[in-house]
Amino acid sequence: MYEKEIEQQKRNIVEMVHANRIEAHLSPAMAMMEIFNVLLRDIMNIENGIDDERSDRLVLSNGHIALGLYAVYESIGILSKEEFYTFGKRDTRIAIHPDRHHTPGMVISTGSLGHGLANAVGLAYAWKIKGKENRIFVTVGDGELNEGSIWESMIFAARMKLDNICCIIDDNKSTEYMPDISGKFHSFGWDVVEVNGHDEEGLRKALSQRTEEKPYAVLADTIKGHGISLFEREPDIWHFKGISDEEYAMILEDL
Amino acid sequence: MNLMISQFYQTSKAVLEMDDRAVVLMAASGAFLFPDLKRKYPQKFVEAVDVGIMEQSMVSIAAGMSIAGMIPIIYGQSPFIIERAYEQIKVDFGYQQLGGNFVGFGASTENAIYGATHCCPADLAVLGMIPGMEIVVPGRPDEYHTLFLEAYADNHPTYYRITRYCNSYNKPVMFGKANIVKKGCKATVLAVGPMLELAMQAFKDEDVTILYYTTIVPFDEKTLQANLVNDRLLVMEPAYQGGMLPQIAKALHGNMMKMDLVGYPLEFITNHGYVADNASRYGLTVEQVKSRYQELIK
Repeated sequence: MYEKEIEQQKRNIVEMVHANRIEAHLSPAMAMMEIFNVLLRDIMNIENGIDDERSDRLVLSNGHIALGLYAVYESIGILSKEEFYTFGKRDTRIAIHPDRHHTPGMVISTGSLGHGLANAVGLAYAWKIKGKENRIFVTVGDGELNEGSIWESMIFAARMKLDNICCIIDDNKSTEYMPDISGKFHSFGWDVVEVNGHDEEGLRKALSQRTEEKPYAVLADTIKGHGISLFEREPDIWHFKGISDEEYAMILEDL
Repeated sequence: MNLMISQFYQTSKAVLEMDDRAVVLMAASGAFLFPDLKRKYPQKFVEAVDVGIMEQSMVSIAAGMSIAGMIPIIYGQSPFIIERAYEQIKVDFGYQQLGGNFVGFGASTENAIYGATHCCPADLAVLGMIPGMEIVVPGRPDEYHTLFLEAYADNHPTYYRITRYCNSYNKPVMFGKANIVKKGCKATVLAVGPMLELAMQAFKDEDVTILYYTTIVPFDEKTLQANLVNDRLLVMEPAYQGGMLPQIAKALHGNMMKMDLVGYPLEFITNHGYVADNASRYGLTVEQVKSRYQELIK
């Protein structure tokens, strides 16, 4: 459904990183494009504006994937193309890691792994106390799940029956040390749905579901560097890297 | 009974009753002391876990609640809510510019009977390195109450270091303002929180100015600048020596001064025992402090 838009977003990312001669988290961003598109276009209640009090919230606990989100922002008119090209520059609103004081739609600044989920759990709990009906979506990476604070906050979320939080696990195989993520979430009292992270329809179905009196997780099986064979072949090298002229030509041909 | 912990309970109860935004979070430690608060405010008095600890996530969760407009009061042993969760305080409250209250007991060596893991003499120094952080060191339960009410909703992260050792000096205190306890000519003694008791015992009959600080950050520079005498300054901190030097150096504006620091030396507290048992080892008896003063005024 958004295949063309996503291809264009990937092209925009590559062009911008190449043109600006900067390094960026390229392969992680590519893995999240379907997730971000479905979330922002079809799932989240942001009709009053992405920073409006009445809107749902998105927290990037794995803050380094923000570049992918910025590309979607540009695509749906939250950012201009010109501003998209300020990525990572001094005084930009769209830094490598999002900053809640500057970045549109960001209620929590992230970058240090293992904080965002707990922050989102606190926000979800406060909304429960206040009787607010909105949902909070929080993305975490499989590698980030190695952080102990993730599991601490999961205990708390289950204990407090936070059914207003949806944790999206970007399982892009960054770590070998986190087997059976679904089983772990289940055993911590969460409901979990597994989905192909590049299947828009599956994502739409999974993300639109809500559980009652239980926190909910969507375990998204993703490919780091998805859609660009150069990135897919060596996802770790392309985790944070710039793009040479030669590589740029190869990527464009691939796209 | 630790009187200041008892005051924490009374003050928290008062704040929960008068301010809908307030919420108390605890990581197991001491929550059993407050069963009635837990019954009365089941949503706003939260033990982060029933058993065990999760201070790091408790601090991050509290930050999320602060983003939603609530005012978290985080209570626990200082080494665990401050040092274990230091990055969470720095990033989730400091960097994000959120308000929250960190009430720590067992600071410095007060829990030395449990060993070095339960000591926290670096608290004042490390927290002073987080931009926007406020640090309050009351010397009496009533001071805790006053200072907490003044600062708890000011949209800054604030650390309240509570203590079982209370001063007999009893005059009103204000957040961010030092008290001039007495005036003299030979030296200025700057006493922080519960160190005032030792300062009064050692110097009540000496010709010195004694300043009493219950707020370290923001630091009352004007009172120090206006009351420096004879270019001699003795700093008495209930923590590692020198933790307040950044604030003091800034207040002195580069003026030359003979200075000495009374507090805990930079070493792990491994000999267990209570504060009083350890006083002589760390140079914190009346006689030892007097001797330091005599050297200072030579």
